[in-house]
Amino acid sequence: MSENTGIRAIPVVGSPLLARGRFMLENALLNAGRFVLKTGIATWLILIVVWGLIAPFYPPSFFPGPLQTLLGGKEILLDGTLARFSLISVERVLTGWFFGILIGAPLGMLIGRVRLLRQLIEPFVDFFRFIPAIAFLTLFIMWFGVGEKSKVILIMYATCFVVIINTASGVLGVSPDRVQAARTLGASEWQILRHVLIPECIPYVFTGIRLGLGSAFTAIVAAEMLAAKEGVGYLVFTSRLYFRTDWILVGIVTLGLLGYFSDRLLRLFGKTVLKRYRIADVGEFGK
Amino acid sequence: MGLETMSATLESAVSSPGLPWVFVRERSTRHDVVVSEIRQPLIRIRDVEMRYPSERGEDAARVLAGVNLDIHEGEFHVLLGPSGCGKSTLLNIIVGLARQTAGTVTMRGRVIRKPDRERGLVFQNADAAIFPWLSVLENVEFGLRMASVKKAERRAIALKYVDLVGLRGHEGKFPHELSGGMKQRTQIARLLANDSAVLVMDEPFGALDAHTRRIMQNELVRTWRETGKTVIFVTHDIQEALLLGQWIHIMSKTPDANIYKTYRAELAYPRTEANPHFIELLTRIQGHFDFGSGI
Ligand SMILES: Nc1ncnc2c1ncn2[C@@H]1O[C@H](COP(=O)(O)OP(=O)(O)OP(=O)(O)O)[C@@H](O)[C@H]1O
Ligand SMILES: [Mg+2]
Repeated sequence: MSENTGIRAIPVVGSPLLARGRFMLENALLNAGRFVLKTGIATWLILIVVWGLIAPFYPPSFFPGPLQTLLGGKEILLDGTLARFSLISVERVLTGWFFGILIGAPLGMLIGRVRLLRQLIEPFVDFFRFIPAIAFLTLFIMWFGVGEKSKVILIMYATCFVVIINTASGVLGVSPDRVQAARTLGASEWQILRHVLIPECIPYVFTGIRLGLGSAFTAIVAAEMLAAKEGVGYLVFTSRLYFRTDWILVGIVTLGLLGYFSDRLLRLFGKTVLKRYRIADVGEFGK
Repeated sequence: MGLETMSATLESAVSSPGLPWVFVRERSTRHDVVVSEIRQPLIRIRDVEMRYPSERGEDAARVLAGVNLDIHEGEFHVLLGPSGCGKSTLLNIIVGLARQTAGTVTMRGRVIRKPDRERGLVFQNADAAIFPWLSVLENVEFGLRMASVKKAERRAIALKYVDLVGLRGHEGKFPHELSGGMKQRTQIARLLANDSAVLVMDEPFGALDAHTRRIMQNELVRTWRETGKTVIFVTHDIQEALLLGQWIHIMSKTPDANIYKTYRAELAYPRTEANPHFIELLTRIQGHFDFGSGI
């Protein structure tokens, strides 16, 4: 085949059908690899393998392996304890979190809008933000009793705090031009609140809500460890007394899963129902 | 100049055949505008002064000083001036978004204290003025929604103006999906749909390409002539000023900017740059910018 003819032979390896098949297979493998990485399955597989390799060097009551943990989990799953405890913890978290948002969002708006209030509250916020909610547990138990009330209030406090801070900073960031634009279009002050300020703050409130959920979980576990007869925190704390280290791990994994899936659910909500507000859907590392 | 002589020159100049534009006045003083008090203006601006407080607390230099202007119902006024001379500032005062430090601004005899839907504004910066969480159509509907117009009705009105500004097919898009010019057109449609008596526009076509710009200029003139609205339009493009305005006010530099010269252009609409009178007036106004001591 001489070059000056301008025609070059195309090397054919196997039949075209086969080549196509190989191409599709490669593509599928590549996609599967991406999927495994993106969904976090790869991370988990590696973790479990490493865990399984290290655990046999220790007694199970000190550091149980994945299989033992799984069996232990099956035990409390079948007798209903795990589900009941999870439900109880989730219920506490949701109640406190819900009321925390209910109080925090309007309060945050008010603080962002009213200068005097902001100046009054700012030093307070700067002071209390360094005190973890759990530090108030004893006080709350003293004031509200050992029952559900003190725990729900603790979570409320934990949630409220981040929601207020985020909402207030959102209100402060509202473009004055947009408020002015609404005025020239005939909006009353009330309509401005309803149709400009609130929509404008939604992404910030949402961030506050997401962070609040994290604080709520932290607070509930600590509260349940110290003062509860039920709940995942209680499970983690008491299993030690029965030398059931596997249950401790089951409790920890359950907490992680509960947190992970509730955050996923929230993000899904943000991406669909609140789509128009263009909430940045970010993970820990900002992507 | 006395009242009689001023009105006499105005009368004769306006009515003299073959002269489609007329130079009205050198620097507007309180005395000059007395002429137009014969007919009550829609908007009256008297001795307006504006200082912005400086960062250090004391009063900064005056941006505007001694601005006088009468705007009658149905007129098209263009404010022309160098960048930073206070055109946006003056518009903000007229709309009620800013408060002058001295002087008065009235509409139908009542002092303007705050914005209302009688005076709609197209902001210089569309990005900061349209609502990013609303679609194009919802943005255009906004004013009607505030006025509690029924959904079906406001949809229909909004669609009409979406059409008018050439955004048909894009009405479902959100602002982040629009180009700069499309955002600006959304703002214009929003203003028109809201049916304000006075349309105040701050360089509304600055971000548009030449072609769209021309279309929008023609549409604006057409809408203005059809609806009889009053328009106050800011630009620093002399050509654009002449294509649009009945009254062309040239502003001087800051500090102490005011209306330095006023022309009344009587050229027939739709206007073209080919008209010899257009070129004549263009050259004259250009001359003020090139050689004028005040600009
Ligand atoms: N909020 C403000 N605070 C202090 N100074 C201001 C403020 N707004 C405008 N100025 C000053 O007032 C002057 C006029 O500003 P303005 O925005 O009205 O100008 P402009 O004629 O609209 O200019 P351009 O053609 O560039 O839009 C400028 O010197 C500017 O620095
Ligand atoms: Mg300006």
